[in-house]
Amino acid sequence: MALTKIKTRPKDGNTEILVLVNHPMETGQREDKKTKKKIPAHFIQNLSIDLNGKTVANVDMGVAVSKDPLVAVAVKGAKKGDKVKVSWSDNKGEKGGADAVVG
Amino acid sequence: MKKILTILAALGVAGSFAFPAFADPQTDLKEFQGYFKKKYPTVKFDEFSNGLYALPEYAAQREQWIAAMDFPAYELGLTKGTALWNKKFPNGESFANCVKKGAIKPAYTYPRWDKATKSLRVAEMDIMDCAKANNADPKALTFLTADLNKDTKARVQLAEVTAHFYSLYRGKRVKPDVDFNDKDVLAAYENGKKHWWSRRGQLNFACAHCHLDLAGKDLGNQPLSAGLGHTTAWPAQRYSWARIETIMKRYETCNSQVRDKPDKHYSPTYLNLQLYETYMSSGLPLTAPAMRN
Repeated sequence: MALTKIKTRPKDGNTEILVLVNHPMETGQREDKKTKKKIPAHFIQNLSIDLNGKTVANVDMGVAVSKDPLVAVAVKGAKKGDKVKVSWSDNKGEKGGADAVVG
Repeated sequence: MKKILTILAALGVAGSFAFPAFADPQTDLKEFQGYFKKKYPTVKFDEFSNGLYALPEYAAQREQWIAAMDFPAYELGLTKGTALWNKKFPNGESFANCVKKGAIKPAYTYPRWDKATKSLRVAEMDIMDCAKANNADPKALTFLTADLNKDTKARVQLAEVTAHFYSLYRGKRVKPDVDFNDKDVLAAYENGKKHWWSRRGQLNFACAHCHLDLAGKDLGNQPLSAGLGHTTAWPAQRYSWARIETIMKRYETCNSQVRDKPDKHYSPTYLNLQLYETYMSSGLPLTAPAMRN
């Protein structure tokens, strides 16, 4: 499973949740230089961020997002010790995610 | 093309080197660091560890770099490296034990001179030898058997483990464990120095052309870093590579960019070059792993 990392930090009175995912985000447009075949598309389609079981962000992503994407959202009213849960799924049906605690 | 010609013409006129051809390493070090201190009087010495982001010309790049440091992309690779570092070998030993026993020396002392084999050693070599001596599984640590010049996956794995090792010594000051009273050591140093200062490749550039006189300027659309602090960030992750890489790979690409035939990983030429560059950065704090342009 692809590695997912989460960081939280206070920002302008809110809490910022940063999510870093190790994912190739292949567009399907690139060609393998040796075999001259298209590299099949492989990208994250949906990423959701839950705070204490309630979804606070639901991101629809596409091929325009870079490799190893970093998604950051600011959340109001999060407290220290709140549980953050991130889960994502890609076009190949692979799923991933991670848990963290607001620090 | 016109731009390149102008640059070459400028180099012909302005490319005079103030350095004496024969000097002992200590004098070299003083002159080398003195050159950058004079060129950038406003930049603090320790800042040179941050590579091109220390230079006032690249204030815009520095801002982007600081933003990237919020959640640096190398953390993905570093996490993998940490896991490999902490995993015990089948015989119960680990990398950490090798450090305790002295088979792997502190990161800031590399490159070091090994008296028994009369050769230079860099951290990656000692890390590989530690794993080999403890019969590590070559399937788990693919870099033990792979050809590091060609096998990107294996090389990145080695870079990730080394990155974790260097992260343990962040902020410690560089002090290569070499004794220049030894004739062989001095010969290695002179060889590395020669590589840095001599022209090579079709473009006829020496390392010194871009990273001394032209540091702080752009070549094409690429910023040129200062030679001081070149080694302190490696293993590093470049934005364009999107993975942690070894310093040897960086030398390889640098050489091929001036249309020179690159050397192999841990070849004597590159080891000597790493010794020269690291020695020139003596006293700077280690920042590896880091993000680089």
